[in-house]
Amino acid sequence: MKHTSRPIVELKGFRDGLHLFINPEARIEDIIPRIEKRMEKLGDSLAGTGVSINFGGGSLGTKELSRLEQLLQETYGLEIRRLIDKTDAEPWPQENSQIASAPAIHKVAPQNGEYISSAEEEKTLFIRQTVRSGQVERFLEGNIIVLGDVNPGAEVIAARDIIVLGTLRGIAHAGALGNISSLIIALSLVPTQLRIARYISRPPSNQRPQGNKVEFARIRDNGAVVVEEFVDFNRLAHVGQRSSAVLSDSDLE
Amino acid sequence: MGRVIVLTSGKGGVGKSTSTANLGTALAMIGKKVVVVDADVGLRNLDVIMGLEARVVYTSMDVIDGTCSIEKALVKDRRVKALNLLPASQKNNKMDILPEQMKKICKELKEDFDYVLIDSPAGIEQGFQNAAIGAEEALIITTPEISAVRDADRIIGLLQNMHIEEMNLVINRLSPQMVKAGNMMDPQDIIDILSIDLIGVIPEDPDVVVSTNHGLPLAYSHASYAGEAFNRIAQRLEGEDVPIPEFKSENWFGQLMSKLIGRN
Repeated sequence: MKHTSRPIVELKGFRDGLHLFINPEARIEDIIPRIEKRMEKLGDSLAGTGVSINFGGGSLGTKELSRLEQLLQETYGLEIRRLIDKTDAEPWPQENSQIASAPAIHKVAPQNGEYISSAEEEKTLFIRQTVRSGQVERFLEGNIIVLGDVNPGAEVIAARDIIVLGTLRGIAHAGALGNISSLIIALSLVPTQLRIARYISRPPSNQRPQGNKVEFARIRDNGAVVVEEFVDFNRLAHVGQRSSAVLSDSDLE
Repeated sequence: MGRVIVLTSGKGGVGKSTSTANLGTALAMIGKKVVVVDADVGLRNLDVIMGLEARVVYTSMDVIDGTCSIEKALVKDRRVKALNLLPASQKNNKMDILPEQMKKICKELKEDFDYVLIDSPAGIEQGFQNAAIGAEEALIITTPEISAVRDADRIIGLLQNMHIEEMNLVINRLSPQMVKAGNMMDPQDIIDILSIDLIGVIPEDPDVVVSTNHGLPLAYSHASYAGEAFNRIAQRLEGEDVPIPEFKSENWFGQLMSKLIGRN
């Protein structure tokens, strides 16, 4: 298999976490600076995230491998889940394809919640209390449900949907690994800021507080984050593609 | 065995020390044995507010050093029997006291007193941690301002992490006129965000400044709105059912305005 047209390093978000694809023909001297360049933009936003490294059949020595691991773990705080080094083990990602996820070895420990596994591969973090100012709840393996409020100054970050059974006043970031079909639903939606995938929106300053309407936010085709009244789940199913669509690396840049 | 209560807010200048002094006075006047502990090491002023500055000889630092006993360090109020102050050292700083040492002091004090009220410094650093470490309950002091409510929310989260579950809210410096006109967050907006029980609302009262300057807590004289509000909080702490007066904006526009102010 030839991958000469592929970039040296590609970082993609999947339901089981991040995958770092490394061009099998690349040398470690080229790989490291590319990772550094890629991570530079992300800052420490990925700390604690699980990452699988896919070499696509390339041959990196033990020494080079440990250099790579050290960089990812110590410099950027990523948790290395598994190394995939056989060509036939995982296909190189095609657009809109999804890699079958392996059983997760690492779990990001939740601060104030617990996991449930509703269906295979779909994990949800339940937070059974109000998320208060200064608290950040990050769950990059699936959805977050908050049984309480999200207060101003608090942040809730999920790889997929965020549902707040209370008032969302702080910041919610759904689809944090790039899933643009992610939704944010709240019994009362008066956020400081909404983020879905790489799109950020701020409510207009003259927004009138809605009465008792349940609302949800999604991304429209033109990339705008829009807030609409939540009617029922059937209608929700038609909103966007409820697949695990993933933005490609080039979209993110 | 007494109750150890920390009075804290996150934000500075919302009235922690004033509340501690007044609440301590109010509780002592209904016959409770009270000690107020100044945990604001390096920036002490509870002694000034209570008019006891000239009588401070030893501080909690001396107790920790073993220079004197707790009993000896306590300053006894002469006007209100059963009210005592454990002063903070002014020449040390907050890092000089370890959480364990503070915990030990609280443990000893609650053997002898009905109420141990701890005046926390502003902030969320070690000074606050020290103030809260020995407490089983907290009174969260806030003013009807977005920034103060935000900080109070942060503090509530930190106290929950420290396993202090019993928390009550005191809203200080509320101006009923401004609430009525819809220009100030009303108590319900604040409770909606903080979601803890309200134990008292202290109205804005110019007498407070006069009393702190004179070193005579208002609760002592039964002659002011604010002082009476503190006396009612003392009764509520004792389990009495004393209603909290309602402060609400009077018209539709005012309610909408206060919603908008309270939104963030």
